[in-house]
Amino acid sequence: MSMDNRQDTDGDSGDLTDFDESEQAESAWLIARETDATAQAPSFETEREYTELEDMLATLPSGAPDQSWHDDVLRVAAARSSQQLPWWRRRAVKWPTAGVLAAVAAAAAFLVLRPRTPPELQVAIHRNSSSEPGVEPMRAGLSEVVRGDHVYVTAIPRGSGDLRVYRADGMLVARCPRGPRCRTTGDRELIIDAELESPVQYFVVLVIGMRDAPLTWTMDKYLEAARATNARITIFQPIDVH
Amino acid sequence: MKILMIAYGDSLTAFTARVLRDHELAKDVRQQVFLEALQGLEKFEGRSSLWSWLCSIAVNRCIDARRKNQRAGVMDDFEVWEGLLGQPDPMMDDGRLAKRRALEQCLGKLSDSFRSQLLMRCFLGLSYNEIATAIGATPGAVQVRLSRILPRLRKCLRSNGVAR
Repeated sequence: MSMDNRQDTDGDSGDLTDFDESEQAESAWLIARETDATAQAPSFETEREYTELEDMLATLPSGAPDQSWHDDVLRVAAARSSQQLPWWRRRAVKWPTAGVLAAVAAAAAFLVLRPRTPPELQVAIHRNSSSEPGVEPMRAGLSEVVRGDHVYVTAIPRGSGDLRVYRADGMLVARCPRGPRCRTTGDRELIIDAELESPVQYFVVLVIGMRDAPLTWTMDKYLEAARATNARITIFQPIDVH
Repeated sequence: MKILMIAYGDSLTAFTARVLRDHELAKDVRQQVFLEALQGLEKFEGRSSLWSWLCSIAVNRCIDARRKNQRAGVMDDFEVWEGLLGQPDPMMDDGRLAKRRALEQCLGKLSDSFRSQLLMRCFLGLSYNEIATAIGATPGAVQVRLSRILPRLRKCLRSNGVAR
């Protein structure tokens, strides 16, 4: 594993000296809110501007998808691999072409990648939602959801996120942060635990980059606004409640 | 490896281009990152996520590239940025477009190191622990530093007249 672990040379100041009072207050609040979601911002306006700033940083454009360089990397990798072999092996072994190398590496990468990358959005169905401490809820599959089950959603959004659960008729069931059936933890985790009360479809939606959409909006109106503001939208597969 | 390049290539390119402010240099770094990842994948121990491991390689190769190539970034022209990193959404209104332009300019005023740490947190979505591991600092130091970079960035935006 190639991790240089270089020593950070900026120290704690760099060109961040001469802070004025308001910057100091904002800095203190930014630290406090990491562990306390209710930490009071210096002002509502300040909080709003930071939310907007972090949304903009999270949604900076990455450019159009470009795969033209992938083959170059694989070619260089194959060439390097070939140069490291003794000459008799280079001539005799014909299979290490870039394609085979790519396929093997892709399979390895897939195996490594899949279990270790924490998903941004996770959804589980709990059959009994006992609030008694120490009682683990029983999980149910998404194909066997019945009225009274609970949908348990956790999201760790990259950027400031707005997590919502809607019914198929567009009605908002839960929202996080600052909404009904919502819980937040440190490090920006949003949790919704909501009862599925009706035999209809439910939708779990995570939007990154748009905040403060009214609670009264239907799902269609909400998604339309999210798209208009260039926000990133993740919709979990519909949950059919029987 | 191709999966890694498809999944992470564009984000890492945007990250390295913004850190180095030099798109050609950023493309060189991108190639180095994935060649190094290919060589190191077998030895990858899984103590961090694959994503944070790639980011860690990227930030260290950016440091190397900057040391070898001291010329200052020349990417403060927003139209050049748009050409390389994507045209603005046609739905984006003038006010939001102005803010994005100002943000790119203000990011350019931060040091490479501060810019990379801010982008690792806010753009790449790494935790304080992951950033700390990548740059050889403590998580607390990273958190304190970022809590000072953001107000500086906001102040810059205000001086550009885009924040109210």
